[in-house]
Amino acid sequence: MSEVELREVGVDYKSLGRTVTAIDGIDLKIPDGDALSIIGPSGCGKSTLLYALSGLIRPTRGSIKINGGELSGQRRETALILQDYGLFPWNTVFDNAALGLRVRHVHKDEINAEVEKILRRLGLWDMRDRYPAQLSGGQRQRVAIARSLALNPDLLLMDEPFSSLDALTREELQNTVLEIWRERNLNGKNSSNGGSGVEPLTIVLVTHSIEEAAFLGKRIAVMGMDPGRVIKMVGNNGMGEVEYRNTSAFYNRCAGLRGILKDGAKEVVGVE
Amino acid sequence: MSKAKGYLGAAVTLFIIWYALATLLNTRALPTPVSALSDFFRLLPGDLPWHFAVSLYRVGLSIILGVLLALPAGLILGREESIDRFFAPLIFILYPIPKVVFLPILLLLLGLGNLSKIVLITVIVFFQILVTTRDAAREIPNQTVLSMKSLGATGWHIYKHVVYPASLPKMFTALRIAAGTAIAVLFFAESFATQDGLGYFIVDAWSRINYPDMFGGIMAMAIMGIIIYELLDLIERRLCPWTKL
Ligand SMILES: Nc1ncnc2c1ncn2[C@@H]1O[C@H](COP(=O)(O)OP(=O)(O)OP(=O)(O)O)[C@@H](O)[C@H]1O
Ligand SMILES: [Mg+2]
Repeated sequence: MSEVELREVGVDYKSLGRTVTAIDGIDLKIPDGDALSIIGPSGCGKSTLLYALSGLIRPTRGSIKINGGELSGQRRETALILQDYGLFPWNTVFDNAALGLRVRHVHKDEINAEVEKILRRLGLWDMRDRYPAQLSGGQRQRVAIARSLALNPDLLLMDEPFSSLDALTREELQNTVLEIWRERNLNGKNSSNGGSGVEPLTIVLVTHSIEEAAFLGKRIAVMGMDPGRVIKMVGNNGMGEVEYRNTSAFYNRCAGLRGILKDGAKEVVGVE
Repeated sequence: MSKAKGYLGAAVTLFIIWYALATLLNTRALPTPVSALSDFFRLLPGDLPWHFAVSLYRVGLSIILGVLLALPAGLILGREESIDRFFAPLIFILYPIPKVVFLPILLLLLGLGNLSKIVLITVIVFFQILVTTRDAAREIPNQTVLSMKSLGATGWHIYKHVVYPASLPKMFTALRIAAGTAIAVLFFAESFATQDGLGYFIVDAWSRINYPDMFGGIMAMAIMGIIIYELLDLIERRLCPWTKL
């Protein structure tokens, strides 16, 4: 389970003797099993917010609670996927996927079984002995997904995971993520995904792409600049099906988000 | 083209140039490759293999020691800023000093045997590897480390899974350069007050104006270089398979 609550969260960076406020006053509730997209202009603090959620950086102000407990450092059940630097070129596909479990001193047989299951699930099993340099960009990000899923997380954080991929590959991977999220969250309602006793998976996705935010976010947090903060929360209950991408509701949602992002930018211009 | 063929081709090319030069100059100081080769094989039943072994032992052990000391030290300095702040100035003062100037002191302190030479070459290899691995470890993108941390890795794991493999290919590049320097310095160190090693063998033959022996020794030196480079290549391919894709 992962119920996340941020209260008045702010992060300052100290660089060259100056203090830069990356984000400030972020109030956010992320219920268990949520799919939250975070979108906003470059430099508004999306990555910073995600790192704070992952426990990699400690907020300067405010509190982050997960399941009611104050977050201090990393949780075992939180996984993070980064854009480009996630995979290690010196590890094979298998070793990359197994790395998190190895660091956690999981037993070897268990690692082998778990990693095989996930690599098969993501269609990577035949490539298990290849190095990342021998994979396409899409396959690499698939391995990154495999590696984080191997940790069996209940909170999956993604920082622009697909932004360096071509449009079709990106959509394919978005579908994969959607499927995984649905498997973990809709199995009560959807009998075809009948795994029982599966814990819900909460996904927080940071993206530059309006379409990606609308496709993968049940809720979308739109961020603004200076300081980085959430300027609007948008509900997006239509998401959940692969076909959503082709509906007019989806187009309207994207248009709406575009408008909010533009207004946010204007607002900043107006202030200064 | 296989490696053996490559070496053969290189040797033939070299011998042709050498042959032309030797016939042109027509001096005893530069025998033709044919007579040098026959001298080399003539020397094989004699002392030459012993001197070869002594030199290979000295330079091999020095390289191993230098790497074992410098690799961990370089990685730690590259990642731990508080330690680096203290040691970096020290390294930058010592690094540019040609270490051979310490040979007299080392001979005085450690004697004329193996120890003084091994220490000298170890120090030279140490500094070259230290500076390179330190820089390599510093240049690891912060995101790479974050990604490892996000998997729950701390301290030792980050070194083992990120810092060490990320720096290793650059370490090997530095090691190849250092090996060349090491052999050159070995020759220099063995040409003083010693009775064994290829350096001694060559300089001794030279002083006796015995050019055939001298060129036999030079050939043995070239073979030692090939052995060391090929070994380094082999080890690198074993340890860094991802760089040779
Ligand atoms: N380590 C750091 N030191 C100093 N300032 C930083 C650091 N990391 C980020 N910042 C600053 O904090 C602000 C937010 O950065 P962040 O990377 O979170 O933005 P972002 O929304 O993820 O941007 P992008 O969309 O370009 O990835 C930026 O102004 C950035 O310059
Ligand atoms: Mg970012």
